[in-house]
Amino acid sequence: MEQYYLVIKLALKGLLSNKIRAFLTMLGIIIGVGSVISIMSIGAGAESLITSSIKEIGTDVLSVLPGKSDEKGPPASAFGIVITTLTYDDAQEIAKVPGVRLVTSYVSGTGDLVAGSRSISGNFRGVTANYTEMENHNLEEGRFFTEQEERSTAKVAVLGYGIKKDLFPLSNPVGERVKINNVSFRIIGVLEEKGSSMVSNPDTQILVPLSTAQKVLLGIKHLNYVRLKAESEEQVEEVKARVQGLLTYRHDIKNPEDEDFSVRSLSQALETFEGVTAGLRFFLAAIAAISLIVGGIGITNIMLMTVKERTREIGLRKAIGAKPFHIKNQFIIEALVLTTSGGILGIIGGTAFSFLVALIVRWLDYNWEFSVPLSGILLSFFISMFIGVTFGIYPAKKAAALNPIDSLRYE
Amino acid sequence: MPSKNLIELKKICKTYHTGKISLTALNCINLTIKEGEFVAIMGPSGSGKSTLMNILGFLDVPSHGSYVFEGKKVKSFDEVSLADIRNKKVGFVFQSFYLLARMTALENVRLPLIYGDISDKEQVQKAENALKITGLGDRMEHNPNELSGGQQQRVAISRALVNEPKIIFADEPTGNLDSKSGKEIMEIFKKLNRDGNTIIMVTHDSKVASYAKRIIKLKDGEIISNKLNK
Repeated sequence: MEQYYLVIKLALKGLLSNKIRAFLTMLGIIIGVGSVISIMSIGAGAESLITSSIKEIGTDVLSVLPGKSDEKGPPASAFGIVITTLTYDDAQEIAKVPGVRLVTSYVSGTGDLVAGSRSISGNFRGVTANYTEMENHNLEEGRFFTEQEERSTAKVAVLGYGIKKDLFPLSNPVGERVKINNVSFRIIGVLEEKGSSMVSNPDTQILVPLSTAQKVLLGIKHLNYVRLKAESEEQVEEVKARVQGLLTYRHDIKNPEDEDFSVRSLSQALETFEGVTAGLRFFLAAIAAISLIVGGIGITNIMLMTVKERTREIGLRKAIGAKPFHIKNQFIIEALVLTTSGGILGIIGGTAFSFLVALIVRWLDYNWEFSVPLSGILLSFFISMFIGVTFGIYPAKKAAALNPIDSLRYE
Repeated sequence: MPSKNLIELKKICKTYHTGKISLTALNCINLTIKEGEFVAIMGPSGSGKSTLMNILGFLDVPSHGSYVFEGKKVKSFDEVSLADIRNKKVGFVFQSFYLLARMTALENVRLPLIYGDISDKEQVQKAENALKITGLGDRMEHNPNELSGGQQQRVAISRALVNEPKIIFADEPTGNLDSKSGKEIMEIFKKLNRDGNTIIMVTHDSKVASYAKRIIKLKDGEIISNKLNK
């Protein structure tokens, strides 16, 4: 055992005595293992985001979006395409579909928000009065607007928590006024802080009655989307089919190819998101695989050089009684020291990269949990050692096969 | 009291084949070396003295002939068993020391033992003793580049001694040293021999050879003279 301790010690000494060469040799392994760690960490973060979003929105919710879209792709609106086929009348008919408990309509826009001397640009949303029930979002101050106010195009507004903090950092805004694109609104409430879901961040929005938003702020008649809640989770698929049937009939669509709407469940929205992170993970996996192979070849190369440089050492070790397996093990261990050191640096680098990703995602206000799974660290160690043995074995065998006399005379 | 025969060579030949040319390095050598002897092998380059030493030292295998070591015929010249004999029965001292640069003197001396089967503690103890024998008890933690040539060769001698070998082979041990250090090294060999160690030394320097008790001269792969020294 002791001989291997000495071998490891010597190999580490060798690495430290030529840090740049060691680093360049290990670079492929570092990038490869770093990618593996990032894949695992980002996977865990995405999962935490998805599960927290599911918890928040619930699985009994369906979205109706204007425009046909591929089941798993992002909705057309994500590309900035405006489709005007979905209307409030549609929403009202959807509310009559059996199994539908609640329907909320949404429009949205951006504008300048001004309160007193403070001014920001932000998003506003026009929603129906049952918004709080749909989104499970309670009020911190004041009240939400009523159906009466919605019907009467009242100029009242409810602030998201973030907007309140920006415009009224110290005071209670209820009863104050805010201008949205130069139209003055009376503030009647403030929503609780909620944090981002994957779809939007309700904290950075100002809510106004749907009709007010359509007529006064946007001058449109269509809706951006409709959300509905089924009476139970089990009914979601059934309700989805019924809503699809209803809209197909109402929009007079003969051919399913020509559908101008789409009905999506939350799980589909999540799949869309998972698709994005899966893309990122696949990209990182490709980087990992390529770097590890290139890195492994680098290890073979450097070990062949090492064997050549140290031919006389090998000759001497053989002269004083080292058997071929001693020499073979020595060089495999040296390769292992190289790849494992690279692996450790890769784990550190990958952790740092994942942390940076987590910081950016959190800065975008999403609930992203940063973690590096233990399985990822173990996998990285395993990969590093596997590469060390796989790519170290050829040079080691070459060293073990050297003849002591010729090696001692090697110049 | 007559000593036992340590080495008996009978009709040992070594022929090298390179392409179509065959080169006879050793031509039917008969040689006996007893325990406790100090033998110098001399000869011009190409005389076969290095080949002879490599065969005697189990680094090389003869083409023909029999080699009896400690009364036993060395039959299987396979790599693993030769390595084992080298590890347990033989010590080597080379012209250019062959110390490992990244190891301390102590670690260098200990090196043969890590391929053996004794405990770590015993390994360190034996290595320390071997360094004390050559007078380097106070240089154990030095790296080779911190030692003079003479000191480096003394580390190498300690390494050759550390496994308490039956025989020590020295290949031009003073070849890379100035005359003063060379003398010191030869005194060490002389003392080791007085203490009962068998030593076989290859040299082309008659002054160095004069420390030996017996001088064997080779030419063209044959022994041309085999005499006791004075």
